Amino acid sequence: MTFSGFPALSRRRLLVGLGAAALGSGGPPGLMRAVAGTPSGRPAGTVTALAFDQGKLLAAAAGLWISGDAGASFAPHGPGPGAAVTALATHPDLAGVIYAATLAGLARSDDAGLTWHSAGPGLPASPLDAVAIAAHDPQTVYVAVRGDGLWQSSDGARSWDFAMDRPLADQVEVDVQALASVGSLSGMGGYWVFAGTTRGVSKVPDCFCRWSSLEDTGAMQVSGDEAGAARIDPARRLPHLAVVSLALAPSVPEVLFAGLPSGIWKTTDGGSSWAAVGPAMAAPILAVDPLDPDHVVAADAGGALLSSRDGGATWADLTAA
Amino acid sequence: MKALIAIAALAAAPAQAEEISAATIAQGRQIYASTCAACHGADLQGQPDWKRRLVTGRMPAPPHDVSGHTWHHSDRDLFNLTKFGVAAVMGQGYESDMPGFAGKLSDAEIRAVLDYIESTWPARARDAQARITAADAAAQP
Repeated sequence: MTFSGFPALSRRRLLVGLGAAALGSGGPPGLMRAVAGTPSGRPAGTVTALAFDQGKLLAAAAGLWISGDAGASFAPHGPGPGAAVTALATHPDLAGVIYAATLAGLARSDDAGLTWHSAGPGLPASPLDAVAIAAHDPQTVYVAVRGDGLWQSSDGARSWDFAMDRPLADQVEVDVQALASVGSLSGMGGYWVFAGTTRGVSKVPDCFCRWSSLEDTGAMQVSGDEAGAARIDPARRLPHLAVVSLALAPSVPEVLFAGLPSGIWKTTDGGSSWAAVGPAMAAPILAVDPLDPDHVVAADAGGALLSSRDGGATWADLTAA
Repeated sequence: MKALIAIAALAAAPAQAEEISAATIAQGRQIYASTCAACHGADLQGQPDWKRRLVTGRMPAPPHDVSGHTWHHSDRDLFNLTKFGVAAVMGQGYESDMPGFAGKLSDAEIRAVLDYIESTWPARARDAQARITAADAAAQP
């Protein structure tokens, strides 16, 4: 996998070539014009990942796009890592550092997304579906390897170790499609890692002893906690459907947003109870601004791009401008 | 029902002594060798490739040395996991090959095994586990 270089190509050709490669032959009409710099003001192609970095909104679509006005308009921001991006991860304590999970491995940018290099030495040569930076330690990075499991780096992605098999759902291993480091205490000397899977959300302490369901509470889910979980209104539980995105601000770990086939769901109690928020969207990709935890952006494959500035209570259509 | 048994055990779990004698650690080492080592390894190293599920879908026996996650659990949790087994403590249909040793080992013998395991950890892990144990105790009603 190569993420940087391409010295023989001009910048214009590079943008076009990598944008097309990322989406394959199924890219939308107008892709090459937009990626080459036509001021459409919108990311060209389907947005596959969103992230905030230093108050700016990044969108991975055909290439990388950046918005300095909270998504009202976007400008091309280079070709991205050179392979189809499945997730982006940033951390408020690492300004300008962006990790991109791609179908060809992990890439890291140290200049806010302009250039990229491979960051996956030791990772299996398989597609990555998710990446997250630990809320409490930005040198710790987690990735989900498709068909394999979770891998962890404790040194800023210079080396990797297998951390945990995939979670079980109905006695079947399921792939992780989204990751979030949740900086609330696990009771085991660390914090939680939440995983959006093809069947709901599972969580694991960052000592990686075992996966558990969101309805479980407490460190070991001894019987008293079962009673607590039973008290949760079933209507307030997150549906066991595919979760394609998880997003939160590290400073507010009990508030998470999840992207499901029905749209955006929100919890304010660390995942025990959930409610749908916002208009219907088809498996939205989400991002929360770490500098403003009430600022949430959502995009879906249908071209919808929404923003909320009040934690999901109301939403503005960013494509209507 | 198993979970209710675990709840009762929480109240019965013995408190850890401030100072662990060499004799207790030696006893724990002996019990570990005869009772635990077959799965968790003679040197506490766990089963090979212990982070990946067995074909049964269950997780292999993890190491009890510092490379594993045992030191991330409180004394109360470790005692209950050992006495009642992982499935009973976890509940909710969780399946595990780790049996409970109630009726096979006394509470004092279980504690001795855990004391032996904890005695092998470096100070950093022992200190961290002590903090986890203290926080867990403080959280109990």
